[in-house]
Amino acid sequence: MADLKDVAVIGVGATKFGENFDWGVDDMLTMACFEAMEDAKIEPGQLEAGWIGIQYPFTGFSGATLSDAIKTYDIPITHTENYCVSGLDAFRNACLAVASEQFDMVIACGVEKITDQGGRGLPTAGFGHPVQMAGLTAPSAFGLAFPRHALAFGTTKEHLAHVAVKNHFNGAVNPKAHFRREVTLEQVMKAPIISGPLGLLDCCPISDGSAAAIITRTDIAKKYRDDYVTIKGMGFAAYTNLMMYDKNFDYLAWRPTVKAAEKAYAMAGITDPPNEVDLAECHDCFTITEILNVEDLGFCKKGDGGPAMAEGRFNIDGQVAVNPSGGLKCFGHPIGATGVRMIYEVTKQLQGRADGRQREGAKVGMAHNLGGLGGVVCGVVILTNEK
Amino acid sequence: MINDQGVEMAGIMAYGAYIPWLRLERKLIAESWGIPGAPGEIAVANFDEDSITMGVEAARDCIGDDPDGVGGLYFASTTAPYAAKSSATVVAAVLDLANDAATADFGASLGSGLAALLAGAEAVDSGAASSVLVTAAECQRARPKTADEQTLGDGAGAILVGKGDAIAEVKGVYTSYDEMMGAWKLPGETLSRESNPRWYTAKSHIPDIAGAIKEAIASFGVAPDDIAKLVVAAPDFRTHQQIAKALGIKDPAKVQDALFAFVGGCGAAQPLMMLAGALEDASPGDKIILAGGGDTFDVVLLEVTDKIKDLAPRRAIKGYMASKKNLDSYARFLARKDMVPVEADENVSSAIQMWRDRKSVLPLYGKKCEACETVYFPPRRVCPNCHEYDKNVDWKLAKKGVLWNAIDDNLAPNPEPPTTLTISDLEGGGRIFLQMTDREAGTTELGMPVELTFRIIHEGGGFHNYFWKTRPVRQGGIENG
Repeated sequence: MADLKDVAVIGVGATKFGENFDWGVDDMLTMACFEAMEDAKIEPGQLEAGWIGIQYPFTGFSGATLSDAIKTYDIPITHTENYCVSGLDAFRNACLAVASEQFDMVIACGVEKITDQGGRGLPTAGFGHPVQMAGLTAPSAFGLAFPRHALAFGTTKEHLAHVAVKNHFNGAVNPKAHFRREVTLEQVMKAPIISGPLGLLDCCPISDGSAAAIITRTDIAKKYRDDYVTIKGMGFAAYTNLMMYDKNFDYLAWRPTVKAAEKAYAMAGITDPPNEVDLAECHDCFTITEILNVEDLGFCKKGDGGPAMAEGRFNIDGQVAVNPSGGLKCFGHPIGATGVRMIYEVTKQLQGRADGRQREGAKVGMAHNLGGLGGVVCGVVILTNEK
Repeated sequence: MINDQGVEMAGIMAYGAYIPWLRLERKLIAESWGIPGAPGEIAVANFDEDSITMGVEAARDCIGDDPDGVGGLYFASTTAPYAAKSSATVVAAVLDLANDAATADFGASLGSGLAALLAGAEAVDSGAASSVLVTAAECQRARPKTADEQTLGDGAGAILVGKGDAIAEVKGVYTSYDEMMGAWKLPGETLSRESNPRWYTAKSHIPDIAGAIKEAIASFGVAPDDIAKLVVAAPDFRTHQQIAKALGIKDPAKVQDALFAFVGGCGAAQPLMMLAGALEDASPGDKIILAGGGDTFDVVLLEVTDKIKDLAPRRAIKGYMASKKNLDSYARFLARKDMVPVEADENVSSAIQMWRDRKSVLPLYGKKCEACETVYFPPRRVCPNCHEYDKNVDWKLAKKGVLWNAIDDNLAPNPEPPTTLTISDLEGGGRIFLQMTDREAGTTELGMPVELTFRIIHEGGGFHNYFWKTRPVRQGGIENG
């Protein structure tokens, strides 16, 4: 009987992320999936099952969104929807299916086509209740952490700005990133305010894109390539949509990040994260989100996220390379695609194929994906190239 | 008061008023158009206010947040938010009145506020209702550059009529009417048409009201000199003074301020607001003549009792008058009067969901867990603290608390960003996420006291979606709620 540690990724693909006005859902999904299948050296007919992460109904409904694109008729395909974790949850379910030995060769992918809807933020109308949560936006939901974190730990707007500077530095060399430019601390600090402390350059962009991964078991993976990567740890956790009403919630930590990381570290046997994790694709929808996350993941002490960021401890050559791809901030954030895109980046890093942004000697990498209006749900997947 | 048949009659038990936070100096209107301007200010309802929300405010000022024993709710306005559908039932539901309360809507005429008060007193007299909370509110629009634009204001008044320890007894009522085309609106119109105000003031308001008061005083058997305060609602700056003159009342201290200088004419709400203003300053034994109208011209004689000394403090006219912010431009006034087209916002709602959740949306009930005593909102079956299932009771949340977290957001559609989003800990328990209104952006401080106010959230579903917001405590008066 296999388990999750016997699950291997043998191929990954991703489109360029960005305002892909020329491409529809079908175009992007097809490009990402075929790139992943070519990377794995498999044919569509070998796929036995599929999972596809999509957040918004305007992008697509049901698993047939995938079979419509790559014509994998007659196999089971499941649509996962779990906020910004929709893609990573597709990956999780694919891994569980392979670990169970129900299937030998499956695909996990994600896609989002947001720019057809206009240009103002993510649609939030209809979330929850007609009036109770009215006015809440994605940046304000996460930005509400700032006043409490600042009060407790002295975190400043400049600390936040370092997240954007770092992630743009990394992403500027990434050919598939939404943005291909660096930004200065001054530019971030002076950008027009969107919500609370968060200026335009503290916020990830509205992006289109798709990503895919081919998943099998290690015994089969060896037939396709030597540099496959395997699951070392995995943990997921959901909290509540109503955190702003919860008197037990202090806005100092994203509770699902803490809980998902605990599970993933326990499975991986990791007790000293900053010294055992080489790189992390870490959810940075807004700069404040990453500050809390690096603390919640144990990469630094609680409250030290801001100063640690400013010191460069999470630069590509720092203690833990956080968001070597550029992250959501620079690479872009098509909601349903992001989790699988993190798997794409971590796999490339562990294979030594992250041209221009390679974390040297990377052995253990993390995909950390947080979703909801505030930290509602989280997935942590730890991959390794160590056999 | 016991009448001559030995039956106890209705009296006034309490009063309340509401004046919006925002004001516009009339000179900004005048300077914008290069036209003559009157001195003073008008009160301006914010984007999220209408006559229902202002009626709720005045009602809460009158009775607080405990409706125990209030047997009815009457609502009067010529600017009700619905052309068809009761506003009184919305106000009654927000106030958490028992569902056997008598409700009725009055409108169509500037006389409807006073008509509602008389009807409320009659309902109590007849025993049909134990008490009636009479509310009147106006949220008015006028054509730019007209005299009305500088004259009309927004506001609300509330008077509780009942039996028992009245603060003022109703000693007599006189009714009359006159028919003429003064000011009117056709169905579907939101801006008034009017004939010649000099004609209808000279030939209707002054003679009709003064005549009615003369007849009334004669029938009540009191002398004009016995009147401590003449409370006359009239449609402009001067008419009530001219009525006083016609009655031979020369002492300006005996003529109640008609609120035109700093609030403006509040239509059907004017007599109730002026009565609240008169009762604020009244002493036991004072005889008050309340009169007003338009179409109907009614007169009430009131006599203030000792009980007025026992009435709990409230904001009423003086408190709400003192708490204000002046708009810095005429454009911001026009935007609040729907005179400036704004980008349509796509909001969704469901009449059925809003009905199902009416108890949490309107009087703001959450739950209290019987296992761990946690008070929480929104109401749910399982306690968010101890996770017990279905061990809870309905719990009405307090309408004041302390700000725990806040952020100013520029992304949410808002005619005047930012949207201030707040998380507050309410007195007696319950943490709640609400938008904040009637505040200076960027001035929120964690730990500051806040109070809740009932407002329009959006127009999704083609109806008014109301809910609560926080605001900084209105200064200049006592704490509300």
